[in-house]
Amino acid sequence: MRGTLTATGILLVVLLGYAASCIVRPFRDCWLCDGKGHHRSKRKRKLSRPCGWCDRTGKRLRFGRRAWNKAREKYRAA
Amino acid sequence: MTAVIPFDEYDDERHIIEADKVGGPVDAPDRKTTFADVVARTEQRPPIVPAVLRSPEGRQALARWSAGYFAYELGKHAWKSPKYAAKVAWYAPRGLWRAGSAVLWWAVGGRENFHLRQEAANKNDPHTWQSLNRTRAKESSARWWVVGVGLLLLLAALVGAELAGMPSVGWWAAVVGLVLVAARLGRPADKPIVDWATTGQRFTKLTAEMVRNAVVALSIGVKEPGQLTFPPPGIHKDGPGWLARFNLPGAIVATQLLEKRDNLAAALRLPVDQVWPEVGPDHPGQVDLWVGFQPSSKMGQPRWSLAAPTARTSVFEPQPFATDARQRPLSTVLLARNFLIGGQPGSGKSYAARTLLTIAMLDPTVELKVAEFKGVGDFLDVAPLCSTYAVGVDDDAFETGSDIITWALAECERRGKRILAAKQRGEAPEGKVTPELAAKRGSGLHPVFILLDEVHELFAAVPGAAAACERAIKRGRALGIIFCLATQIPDKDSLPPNITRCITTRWCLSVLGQVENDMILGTGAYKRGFSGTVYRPGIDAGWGVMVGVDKPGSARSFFPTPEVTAAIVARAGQLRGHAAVGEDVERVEARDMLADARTVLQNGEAGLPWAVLAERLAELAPEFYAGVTAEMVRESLARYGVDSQDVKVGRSNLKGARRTALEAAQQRREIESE
Repeated sequence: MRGTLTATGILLVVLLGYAASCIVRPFRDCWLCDGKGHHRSKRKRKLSRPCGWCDRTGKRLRFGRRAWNKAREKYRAA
Repeated sequence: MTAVIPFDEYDDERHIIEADKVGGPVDAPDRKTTFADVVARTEQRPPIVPAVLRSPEGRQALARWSAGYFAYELGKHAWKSPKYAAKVAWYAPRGLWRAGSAVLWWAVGGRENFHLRQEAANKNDPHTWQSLNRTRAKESSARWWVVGVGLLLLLAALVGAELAGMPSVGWWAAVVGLVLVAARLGRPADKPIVDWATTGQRFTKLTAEMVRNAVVALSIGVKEPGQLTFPPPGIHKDGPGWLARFNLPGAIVATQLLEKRDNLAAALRLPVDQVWPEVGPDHPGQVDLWVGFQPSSKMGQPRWSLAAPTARTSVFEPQPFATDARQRPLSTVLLARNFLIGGQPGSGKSYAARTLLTIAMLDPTVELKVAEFKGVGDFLDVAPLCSTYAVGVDDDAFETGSDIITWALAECERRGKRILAAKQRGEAPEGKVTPELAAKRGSGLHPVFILLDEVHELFAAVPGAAAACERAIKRGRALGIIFCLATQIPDKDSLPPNITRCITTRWCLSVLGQVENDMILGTGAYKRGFSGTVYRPGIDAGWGVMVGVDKPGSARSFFPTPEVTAAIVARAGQLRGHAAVGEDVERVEARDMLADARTVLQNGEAGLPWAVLAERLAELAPEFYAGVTAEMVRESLARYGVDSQDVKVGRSNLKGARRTALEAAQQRREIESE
């Protein structure tokens, strides 16, 4: 019982923290290019390839924020 | 050829035709204000210090009220303190959370371009978000330093306080203060922690629209609501009510409106005793309409300044005895005035008379003579201070009552001589009693206050008392003898109109009808709006209409509690050294005028003119017949059936009493008594 409560509490805190981060820092570093916006070339002195996943920005919306935005769009459209 | 007509001053045919002035203003030109005008200004300047702070009584009353008020508030909040504690316990953590997060939010610059950043996130625009975020970081970069320094200072202060040896009470106080501040921050904006209960009667505000519509509805000639103008400052609070001063249009005078006070009250949808119109100060077409917050019968009464423990009055100066509808004290000078108080049973006559008696009582130079023919001892507590006191409806009381009047008459005679002597010495420049003369010991000119309650009983029981009283009232006015008569039946049999006529100050308390009202206040009083019929006996006791004072109108006698009344009497006793001023009246045997008239008729005289008879009577018994006039003798003897007949004096005939008529009257009386 006590364990369940603690687990629930921890889960709640984590969820709230994630929600807060979706508001104050909605973008995270692109996982593909590590936030650089381009892929590192194997050879030196060769231009690196831009990251297509994050469109060269190195930032991607968090999953939570992306879901929230989608939901909002749907709500507005309805 | 032209004929030259020579100029002749005296030519009757000639008349000069002056040119008519055509056009241009008829009014005098406007003049610019000069310095002389400014200097000559005499407008009232309102006093700077509020009225209540100017008198010691007022300051004391204010202090007393404030103390009572704050004690009450303190008690009330102490009683509610558990509720407040619960609220604080609930709000304080919220306040702490709010304060902490607010500081944090400020330090990170959360509020800077917050909505722009959110918009960028909504549109999945990392470029814009990043540049906005850089701006935010730049602007708020120094704030962490501020927060840090602040925390360090706080820590230093706490450590310093601990090292300086702050007692635990101080720490507790700081904690309590912090909790209270946190609770204040944590409470919702619309939910105060402390309850503010307002206890006050509500009253719809008197508006210009109400007044205008009401006056138009009176149909006294005002056609349009816009015709009424309100001079500055407009409708405002004045005492416990609203004062609307307005000008009636054209030639409509305010008294036309005063006559229709009932209609005005009806049009305003208010009780009559809440609506008090009077003539305004500037011109006859101006009305001062005062509308109380409550009907005056429901309002309390301010403190009576004569109830103060240091009160001392003077019958030569105005003293408060009643309040008007606006709760302002009404004052009157007792000296050189006589008072008539009328009203139905339960209208508060006795206490109204007592307010006047109180003024006299608190002036230690005044002699008091009280006779009450109700027989219940309304003035029994004052009896030790009175030189003569009678109570009851028995023969003894009536005899004392008529003795008072006889004494007053004789006293008038004595005082007339004393004043004459004083005037010759230069002490009475106007031939009147002055305060110096009254206060002088042994001058025999001290003021005398004679109160006759339910006086109609006396006049009905003792024939001739009314006529004697009338004489005493007329003569005593200038000689420092003050009469105060209270009666419930003011008709011509129980209170002769001659008495009413020579009493200038009249106070009509609650009466039943217009006839009684006008008998007390004078013919036409009811029509002019002075009416005691609006007051209910018992409920509105003490309320009445007064004429013969500075401002005729409604007056409500002060009615202190029995304790205060006792305190006033005690104060008067203290001022007077617990003794009566003046001498008791000597019992003067009532004389039989018919027998006396027969006595003074000398042998060989067939009759006497009235004037001679009056003189001889006064010589025969000066203590009883002092000041008797021919007219009075005629009236008195007419009661025995002695007609006014021609009496031969020398060669002329004068009206008088004939011996035959006197003898006939005597015989008639003997037959009747058998």
